[in-house]
Amino acid sequence: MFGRNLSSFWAATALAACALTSGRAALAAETKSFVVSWFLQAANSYDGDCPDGINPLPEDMFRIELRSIGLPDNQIEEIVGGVNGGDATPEVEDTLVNRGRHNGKPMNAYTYPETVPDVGFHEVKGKYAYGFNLDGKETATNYEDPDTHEKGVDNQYWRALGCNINHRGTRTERPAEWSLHWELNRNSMPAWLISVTADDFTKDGDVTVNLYKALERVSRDANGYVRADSTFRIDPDPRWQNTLHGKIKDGAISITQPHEVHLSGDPYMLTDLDMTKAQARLKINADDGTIEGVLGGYIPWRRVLFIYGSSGWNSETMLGTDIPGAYHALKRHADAYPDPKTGMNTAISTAFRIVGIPAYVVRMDAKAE
Amino acid sequence: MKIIKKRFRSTTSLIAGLIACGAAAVATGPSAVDAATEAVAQESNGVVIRRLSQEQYETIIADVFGPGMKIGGRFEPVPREEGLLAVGAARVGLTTAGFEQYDAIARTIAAQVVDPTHRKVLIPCKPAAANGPDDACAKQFLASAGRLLYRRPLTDREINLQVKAANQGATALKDFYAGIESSLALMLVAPQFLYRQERMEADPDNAGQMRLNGYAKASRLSFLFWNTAPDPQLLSAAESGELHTAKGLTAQVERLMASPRMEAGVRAFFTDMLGFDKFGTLAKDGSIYPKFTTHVSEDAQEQTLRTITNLLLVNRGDYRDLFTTRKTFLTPLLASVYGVPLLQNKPNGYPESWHAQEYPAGDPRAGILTHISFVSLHSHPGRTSPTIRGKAMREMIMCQRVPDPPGNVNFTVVQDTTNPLYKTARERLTAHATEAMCTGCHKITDPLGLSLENFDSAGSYRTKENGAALDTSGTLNAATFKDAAGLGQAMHDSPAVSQCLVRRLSTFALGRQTAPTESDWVKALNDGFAADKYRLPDLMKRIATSPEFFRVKARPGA
Amino acid sequence: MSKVMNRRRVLRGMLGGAAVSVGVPLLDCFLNSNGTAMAGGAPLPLCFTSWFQGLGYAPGYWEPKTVGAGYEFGPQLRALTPMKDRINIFSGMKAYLDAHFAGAHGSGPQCILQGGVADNALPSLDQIVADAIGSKTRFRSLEVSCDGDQESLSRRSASAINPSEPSPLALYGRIFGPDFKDPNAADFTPDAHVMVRRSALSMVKEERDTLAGDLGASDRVRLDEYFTSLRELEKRLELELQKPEPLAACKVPAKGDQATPGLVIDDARANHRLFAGLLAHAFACGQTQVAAVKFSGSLSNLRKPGSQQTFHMYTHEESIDPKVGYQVNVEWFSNQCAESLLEFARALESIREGDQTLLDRSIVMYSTDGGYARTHSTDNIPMMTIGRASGRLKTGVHVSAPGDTAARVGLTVMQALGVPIGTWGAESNRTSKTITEVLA
Repeated sequence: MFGRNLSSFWAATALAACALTSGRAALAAETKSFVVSWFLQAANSYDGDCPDGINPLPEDMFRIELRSIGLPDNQIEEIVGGVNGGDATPEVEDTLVNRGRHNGKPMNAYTYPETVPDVGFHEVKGKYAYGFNLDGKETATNYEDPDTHEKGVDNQYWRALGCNINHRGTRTERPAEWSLHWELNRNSMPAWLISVTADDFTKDGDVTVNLYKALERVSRDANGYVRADSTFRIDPDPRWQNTLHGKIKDGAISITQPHEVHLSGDPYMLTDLDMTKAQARLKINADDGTIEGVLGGYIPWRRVLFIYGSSGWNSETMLGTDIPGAYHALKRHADAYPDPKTGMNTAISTAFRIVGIPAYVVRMDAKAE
Repeated sequence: MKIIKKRFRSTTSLIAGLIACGAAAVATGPSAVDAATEAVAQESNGVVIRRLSQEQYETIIADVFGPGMKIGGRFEPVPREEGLLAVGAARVGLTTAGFEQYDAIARTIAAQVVDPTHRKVLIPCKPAAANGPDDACAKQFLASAGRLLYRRPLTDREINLQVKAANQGATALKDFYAGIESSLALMLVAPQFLYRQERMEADPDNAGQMRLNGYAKASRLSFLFWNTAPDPQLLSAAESGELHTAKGLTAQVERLMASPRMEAGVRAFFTDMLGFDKFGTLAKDGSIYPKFTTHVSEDAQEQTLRTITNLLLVNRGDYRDLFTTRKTFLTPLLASVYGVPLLQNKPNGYPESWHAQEYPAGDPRAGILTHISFVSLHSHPGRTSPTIRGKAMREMIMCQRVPDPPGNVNFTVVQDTTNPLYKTARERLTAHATEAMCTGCHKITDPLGLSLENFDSAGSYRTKENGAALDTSGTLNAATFKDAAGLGQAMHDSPAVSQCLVRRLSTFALGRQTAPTESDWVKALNDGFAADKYRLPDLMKRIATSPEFFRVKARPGA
Repeated sequence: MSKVMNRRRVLRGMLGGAAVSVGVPLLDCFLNSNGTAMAGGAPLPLCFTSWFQGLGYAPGYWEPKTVGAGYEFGPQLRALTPMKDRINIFSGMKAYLDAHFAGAHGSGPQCILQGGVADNALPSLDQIVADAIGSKTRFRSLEVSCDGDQESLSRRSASAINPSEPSPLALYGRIFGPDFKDPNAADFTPDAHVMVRRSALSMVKEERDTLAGDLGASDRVRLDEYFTSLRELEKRLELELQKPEPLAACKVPAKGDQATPGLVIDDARANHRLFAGLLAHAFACGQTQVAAVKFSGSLSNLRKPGSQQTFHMYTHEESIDPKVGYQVNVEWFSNQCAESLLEFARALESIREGDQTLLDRSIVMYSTDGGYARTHSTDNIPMMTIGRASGRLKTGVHVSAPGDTAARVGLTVMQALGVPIGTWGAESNRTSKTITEVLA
């Protein structure tokens, strides 16, 4: 009935209409459930990982782009001089938003980023990045995972944008762009849930990891963190119910059978997380009962672009991601699922850091079990 | 007889503890009223003048002028005496700052009453001219509002004063309604409104004796059962003399008890008895108890009050079962603190609502002493305190007095929760209480408080402290128990607990401690409470229909 | 005698002509028993400034480590140390967002200044204060902006937003231009409503003996306390009916130069210095009792001279310097803001009124938009008050209240200023819990 260790009483009285999240597991199985408290790009910045340099800030990007569409330097300086951190005059904003060119006509750079010439984002060339070897190959554009030392790690999203200053971070220093998108949304978007079921968490063996979308949003505690021990209902919509199978070894959980993951998100972050060939590794912290790990797989790169494009001008001037630049970088580094007609890759390999805190998880549709 | 014997035993064991404690302490019981209380009781002729509480003030205004009235302002706090604010209210004066606040609140209310929207409904007549005084119309409004506010008809002298004030205001400001506003604001700061004054009259049935007049009786009844001023029906019963007859009195008491408003009276009593006013300044260390917020403390009080009214009023249950009941009410917020699942089957973003809950048999979360409202209120900001919890149980629930610690005690051992030698509160207290001067007092408090150690300072359930398993065994007199549920059962079985309720409720009703001369009445109430199977409404009825509830005597020399 | 006649005349004027007969209590309001004007002595009024800056401070680097008196500021607020004994600092409080979308830089100020994060129609607290104490001055309130625009956090409702004055020179004209009247030279007209109140209260006084009736000794003492308090209020009203003490500290300041309005922080600070001086003189001359200062917008675009990188961009884009643990350029901006706040308090302090200063009868309430600009967090928001409000606030105290709504500070400030308000705020930010540690 509940993901968290519960007495049979609760199953009998309080929530008789609900069913166990891990209903298919063996009777003796134990389920531990969590609500996702952080979800962001698994950043792994370190000195020297961007040998070509950190990408310039928006004003300089604007200069390069305006020059490439043929504006004279004095006009460029006049425009860029009026950016004011986003607090520009309507004329300046209009000029920069419409800095794309198609047949000589101004085009919206967020709707049609391809109409702005590529500024050429620097890419992450360091050896280490979080993730998984998704395609089973080891190539020159793969990384080594800094924790597991798995080789052949596919994480082209990191390669494409990891040299942007607002994407840089580590496991403990959360990257600014992602943390503020998540921070802004987790109060209002439906919560994401993790339920882990194993026969015995203290022994090596099989494990099932379920990822769900909840009907409820998260609540906050006195420190502003996601409140532990709250109760969430699983959205009965089967689209947002994901079951992954794997192994538990020395307490570490890893998904050994790559699978699809679909979670409904929020337009200001990821509208939906649609991940294929997803792998994960997770560890439950014995001290505070939290779970933390990395979730990797392929996601449509245009979905990633939308994170930045949806807040267009603000995203560029206040957060510092040049959107046409991001478009070109993501497209260039996309590495999976070629379009049958164009042959262009539609998906990009990624890795996200995912953190969950203890929660009670209930399923409403008892019949489904 | 058995009960009396037990009580005797409990008193002796307590006193034994206090002797070891080496400090002056007072146990309860009719024979143990302290000198100060006795002095007050002797001075009193039974007439008590209580200042309205904030809640009473707000309820009266809503009753008289409608629930839409905005009442902004800071009400001056009342000291707690005899374990109750209700007694403090009968002893407290008024500071200048407090009076200024009343004045500001009064003017805010008066302005709303006469504003163009409300005046149509609230003022029963139209002035001859809006730009000047109209004594007849003013009198009509002020007399009717005044009767409800003063809880009695205004005297001729009073109504003339109010009409004069309205006239002067209307004349000076060229506005009839401004005059009404000014006069009403005056009424709202008058002592006749702010204080529950009680008037006596000669008792026609007992020559040479005095009695409370009908209106004073009506107020005593109404504030006890509804925590507000008498409604028009009760005032009529006062006016007609009905309340002076046993039949009339019983009829009114039964009418008050049949009303859903009785819940307000019961809530007011327990809010007072359980010291919930202290939540106003309660704070927890967020780094240790991240779940504890202002909203938790609000919901926690509500949880306990709902539990109480559900058991005592809705189910007409046994008062003692409050300490063992596994039935309660939770919000999702409280559930997360308790660490129990609670599903709110509502649309996303829907405000948190209340849900009936019942814990399984044997669950340690039994009884109101395990509620967040008790364990968090009687704890330190960053750790529990079995001593404070035990003291609160002794004083609040059992009406026993535990002396304050002497001034020169070294608390270092108790306060340091990081000392690896003493991982649990029990170990720390044991180390601390090796000093003889401390042992005695701690024997009174700690065996009770330690049984609640499963509940941390925020009320979350735990089985370990600093990694060490908790020993929650305890004793209360002859009873021994292993956890909070056992503690609840021992409290349930302790005669001191039900006797304390009788004492608190009678004190609450009278606004003063009962006098030694009233000990027979108190004993009768105790016996009656037991005979009624400890049903609170029955006890309230016994109090309200007994002659002692209204007994007054002429003041010497008056 | 001429004074008396003068007041009679004033009174007649107010009551609409000689035909109106005036009751004795009304006259009694502002005459003593000898029929001569009463001596002055009304206390100087309280002043309130809501002082806002965008982007706040970095968590862990502003909070004092100890609570109560005798605290030490965290490094980012160290500039305020000289004022420490006049400052209360509040940590741990937050804006509850409930289910609402987190307006990145908007939710914090809404909670702190309007008491709720969702409802734009809620009035800001400076306007609630102005309603309560600002009605007798020439300006109910004055709003200024140091970073060049007319945006404002001061509002009466969603549609009634008080625009900020971005130009110190224009503010000078508004206050000290041709319409300025020396408060010490101007005629005084007693407030008719106060007269009516005073008169009504004096009637109750006569009821004492009737009420004392059959009271016992201790209840008589309580009744006497009541009448003492009533008499105190009467006295206060009497003072209000007299021409106030001359505002000895009122001086028309020199007309300053116009500073460059704009987003370079040096310009904003120069503007702020001019505004601080003008507002201090406006308070001292009784022109207003309420001001709202916007040092920078909630999403502050202030920048260093010669740089395009704004304060706001630094908060999101600058890496945390691992050696110090915070963003170095962000800290530079934060320090500038703290120094300006100190300058504001100093401007009020520089006006001496007897053995007190203007700051002593003021509250400056500091606010910002959140607890951590880098992530738009609305937790642990830095909150401060400066000034004692003529003894109504205890100062020099650090209060830590983790998890409580930041609206508690506004509620406490309003109560200290005498606003009749017991509960303030909306949804989870609604509170009736004042910060008793600082209320005198």
